[in-house]
Amino acid sequence: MLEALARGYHYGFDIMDATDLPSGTVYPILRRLEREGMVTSEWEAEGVAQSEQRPPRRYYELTGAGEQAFEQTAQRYRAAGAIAPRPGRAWRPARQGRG
Amino acid sequence: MFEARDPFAVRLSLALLRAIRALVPANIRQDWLREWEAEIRHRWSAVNRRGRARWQDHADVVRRSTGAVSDAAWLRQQFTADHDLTRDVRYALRMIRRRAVVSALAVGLLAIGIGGTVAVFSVVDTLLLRELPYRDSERIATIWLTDRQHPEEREGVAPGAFLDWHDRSKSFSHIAAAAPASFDYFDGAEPATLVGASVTEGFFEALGVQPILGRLFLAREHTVFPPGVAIISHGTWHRVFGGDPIISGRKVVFDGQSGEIVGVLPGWFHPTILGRLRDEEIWVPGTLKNPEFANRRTRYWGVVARLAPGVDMDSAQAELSIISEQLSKEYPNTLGAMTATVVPLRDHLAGPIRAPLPVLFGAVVLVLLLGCANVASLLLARACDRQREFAIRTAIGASRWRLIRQMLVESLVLSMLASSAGLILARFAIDLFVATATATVPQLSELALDRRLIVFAIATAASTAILVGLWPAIRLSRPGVRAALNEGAIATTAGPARKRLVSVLVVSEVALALVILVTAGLLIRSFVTLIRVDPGFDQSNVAVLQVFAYGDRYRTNEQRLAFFDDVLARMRAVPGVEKAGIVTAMPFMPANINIQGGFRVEGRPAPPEREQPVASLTLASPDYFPAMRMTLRSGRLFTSNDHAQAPQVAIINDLLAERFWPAASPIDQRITVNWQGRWRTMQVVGVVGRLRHDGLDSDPRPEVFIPFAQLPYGSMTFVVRTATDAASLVPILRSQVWAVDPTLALYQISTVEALVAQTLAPRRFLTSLVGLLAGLAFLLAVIGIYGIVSFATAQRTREIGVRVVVGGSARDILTLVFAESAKRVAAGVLLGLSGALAATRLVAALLYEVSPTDPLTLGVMTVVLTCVALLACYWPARRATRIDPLSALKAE
Repeated sequence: MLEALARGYHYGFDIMDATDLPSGTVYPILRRLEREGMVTSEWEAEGVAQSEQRPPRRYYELTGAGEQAFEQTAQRYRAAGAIAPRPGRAWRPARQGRG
Repeated sequence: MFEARDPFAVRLSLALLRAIRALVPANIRQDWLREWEAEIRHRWSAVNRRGRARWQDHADVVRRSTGAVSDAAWLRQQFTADHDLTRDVRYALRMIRRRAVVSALAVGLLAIGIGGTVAVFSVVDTLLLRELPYRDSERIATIWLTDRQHPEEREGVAPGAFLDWHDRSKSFSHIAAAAPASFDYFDGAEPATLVGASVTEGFFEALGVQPILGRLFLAREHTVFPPGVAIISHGTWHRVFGGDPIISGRKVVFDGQSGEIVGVLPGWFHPTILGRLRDEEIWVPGTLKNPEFANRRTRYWGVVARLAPGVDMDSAQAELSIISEQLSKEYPNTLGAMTATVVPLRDHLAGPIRAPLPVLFGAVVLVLLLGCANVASLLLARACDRQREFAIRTAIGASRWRLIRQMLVESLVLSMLASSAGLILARFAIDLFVATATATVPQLSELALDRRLIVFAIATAASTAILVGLWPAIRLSRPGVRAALNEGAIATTAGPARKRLVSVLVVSEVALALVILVTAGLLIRSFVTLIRVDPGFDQSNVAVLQVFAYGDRYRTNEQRLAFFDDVLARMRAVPGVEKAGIVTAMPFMPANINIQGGFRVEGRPAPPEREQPVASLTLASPDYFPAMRMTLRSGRLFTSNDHAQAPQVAIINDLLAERFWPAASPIDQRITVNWQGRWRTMQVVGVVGRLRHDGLDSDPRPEVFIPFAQLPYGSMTFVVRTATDAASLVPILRSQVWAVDPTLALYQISTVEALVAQTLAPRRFLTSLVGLLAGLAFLLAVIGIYGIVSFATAQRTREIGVRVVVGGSARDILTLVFAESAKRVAAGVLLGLSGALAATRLVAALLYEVSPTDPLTLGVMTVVLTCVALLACYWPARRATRIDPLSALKAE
């Protein structure tokens, strides 16, 4: 999840697409990360949503603490991966920024 | 919002989200829905942009929206986990666990109170509150012929009085009577007696009952005798006829007569109108042309009536009172002292349990209140332990309401645990009620632990929680008190608020316990007095078998004599049988054949008709008296020489002898008795002790015994004294009857001990229950007092330490602590005594030969409770004398 956010996936459904996790898993994790201060959320700009004739979405972003946590976790996984290598994840391109 | 162009998948997803929304905590609900809706719509517009949506796209949207359930549930869980109330509950549970023993005790005590209250409430509910299954049951009355002096003694109605009411009253749409009857039913196996009633027209209509199978009686069926049709009870239908679904119209032979069963009544139908221990099993139509209608003396019929439209119970009673006045004038010697008493069906059905119900309910409420007082003291002790915590929480901004709520939640958790345990207890208690009381109150077979009772239990628990939790909470959270509590570490004496609380708890525990102890004491004393009453015969090892020998085989006196002589000879030959006799009116027998007749002493002027003395005329064989081990006061008993051809003789009881020969001996005097319309003169040959027939608490009646051989009769009871346990000989005795007549049914087979126990059952039930509750109350009070005084003393450890330091002796400390508690106990005793004097008035009607203000009971209970309560106070006081001043002062 942290990696997905770091790679620029900012919306619940997009993160689901990127991670292949079901919505029932993604959202509670997002809520928890937000509660622990690793993620902040904001509502999408009205204009963008209006231009696509849909309501504005909630936008999630890593905080400094979140980025730090991601780095630490990534390092831990890299170390673990060095011992027992496993196939890396192929990330699909994310839509950058907030619209 | 839905839009018309939205495909079904989107609409379904949005509907799902809205349904799930309710799970989400209210403060973030709007945002949550907005986010999910936006995601769904965004996804759908992306799909649309890509081209025509495939079915997989539809499915994907729906699948994604289902994740909202987990999301909402997670949020709810987080919300509740953070919620104050949940925290309070968790905290309360933690506190309960930490003081497991004390908490278990408190919960247990409260559970007993709640369980008992629920169980007794279930009886109140069934008997007094719940709608009766009889149609418009509040319009149904039972009518009784009662003595003006004793309107509460409802024996029954004399047939003639019923006919007069029937002909003269206008208050009822239906008024009908039931006359006791029984029918021998023989299907080739053992003959059985079906207990039943012959009912006049309108009986079932008055009671508002419809058969579950078949029909009721037709008007013309009430005009023929013997009746050719019968209606059976639900129980008989199952027990005797195996629940045969086509029973209606079935031909059967009862009492040698062919008849047809026309209907089956519902299972709840137990009008118990004839006041017999056995429920009616069969009904036949009775006519209004019965010769019994000339009988205005013997009260053995039951009468029911349905109020006519626009008439209420009071006006029906008023009308019947006027009719009774007229009847008293018309029949002064039979109905002179009698009146009609209207009793609503509900009151009649509640029967003998009705009077003790308030007492029982009062007793369980007292136990509940004691339980409450104990839990309150437990909470108080806990609250005081937590005074610092409260102070800190106030300091960092907790509101007073917050503190009160926390304490309330704790007491609520305790009482909810107690109510769960209480419901389990109530379940057992209800089973016990059903098992013990159904015989006397058949309506109680309907008792069950239903939803209403569970709601009642929860309501009781909740009010208990508020009662025990709110008060200490309010007291201890008061700003002033809090300040005092804050100073707990420096304060030397207990604050006035806390002192008052302790006083209130001790005083109320003592008072409540004393009230219930005195009540139970009176009931126990009364019960013991009752079971010590001498019934006039030896109850142990006596078997009784009642038969009604009528019909073709018993037409003549010789036939009857031969039958009974034959059976008695066979019974005497059975090993273990000491004596075997027969009698008409057997004491304690439900069907006590009490034949009354006019009585005169020869040579004395005959009194005017209306003052004609009446005696019970009992037929007995010679061996009846030794079989009963009755006392012979003077003269002799009957012998085989008192046969049909011998001069007519009689034995009278000492009650009759005292009344008519207060100074002289009645032996050899000649008396005249009216036996079924014919005056017969006989010589008194003996005087025996008096018997109590209808219960140990009933008055003996003047009785004349006549030799059975001189007046052979059909309704007889075999009375068999055995060397060993009478019950074990019953089967072989029964077979002796059937050896002589295999078709004769035995109406009642029992032992006298069982019959006596049956008459005592309601009293025994009440006494043991109130006794049990009193024992519990006593225990609760002692534990409670000990707990509170220990707590109060522990709170004063520092003060006591200071006193010791400044020179207080152990004796001073003991006096200080003990005197305070003793004062509280004394106040409780005074309060309890005045409460007991008020409460025992309630039980006055249930007492036998014991005054409600019985000084012995009051004295003993007061002394016992005072001593034990003082002992409970002494222990903590004694411990206080051993306080080490140094550690006491250091402690804080």
